[in-house]
Amino acid sequence: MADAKETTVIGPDTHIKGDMSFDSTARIMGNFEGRITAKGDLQITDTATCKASVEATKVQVDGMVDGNVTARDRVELSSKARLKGDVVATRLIVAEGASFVGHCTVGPEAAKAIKSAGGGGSLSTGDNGEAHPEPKVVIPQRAEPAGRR
Amino acid sequence: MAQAQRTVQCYHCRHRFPVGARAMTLSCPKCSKALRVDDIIIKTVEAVRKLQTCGSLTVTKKGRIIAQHVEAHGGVECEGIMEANVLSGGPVRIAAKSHWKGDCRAPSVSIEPGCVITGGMFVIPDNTLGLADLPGA
Repeated sequence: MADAKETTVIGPDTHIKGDMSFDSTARIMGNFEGRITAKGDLQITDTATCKASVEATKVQVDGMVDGNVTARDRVELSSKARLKGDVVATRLIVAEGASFVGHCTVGPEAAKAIKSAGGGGSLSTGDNGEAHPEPKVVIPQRAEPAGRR
Repeated sequence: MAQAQRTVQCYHCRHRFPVGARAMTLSCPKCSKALRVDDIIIKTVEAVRKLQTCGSLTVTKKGRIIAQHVEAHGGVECEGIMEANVLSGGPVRIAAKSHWKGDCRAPSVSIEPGCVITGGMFVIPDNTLGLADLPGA
């Protein structure tokens, strides 16, 4: 059909190391190590193992990802997903049973950060996933009585 | 007639012991410290240093918690605003229109589309409390 979206599929018996960029939709079913940039959607299936930083419009994770994930639209973690890395997305959907270890920035602020980083550019400062500062919870402190030392 | 009981874990010394199903507060038989074992529902703004319970915690749509540490062994449900580092022994649900600011450690989490999460460290699954093997968990 003419309206069918072009999808690039990386098969389950494939091992890739390096950088990959897609102009449309991609589906990773094999092993990947490096960096993935997709202008469209990215699907990481349950058979896939990615040691990569991922950037896409929509990222759907069913398999294992070790690296930062940045999505202009949304990140979806299914119940089988295993994600170790920071997430920056406008929307995040996590199904119960998913595994997720990392910093999480979701919402309008994240959308602004993605835009300021160049419309999907990486927000990471390095490979170790130290992109985001430690979260600070502001607690109203009780004022100390004057004259007490 | 035997009364319904449940097992709780002290959030001070981690000692486990059975309590009555309808108990709300008691003291730990090992460390003698006061314990809250009821389910907490936050309907308004609550600014505290620590909020701990062996039961569950629910933040309603108009509720807001500002705290340094929140611990709920029965799980957390957030429909309002949570500004705290949360340690949960049960599943955490972050509802669609809720705001979450802070860390989250829980055995499982359910994040619904539309929520706002600001820079927290999420560790899922996490069994720091060892509550997964608690009877009735």
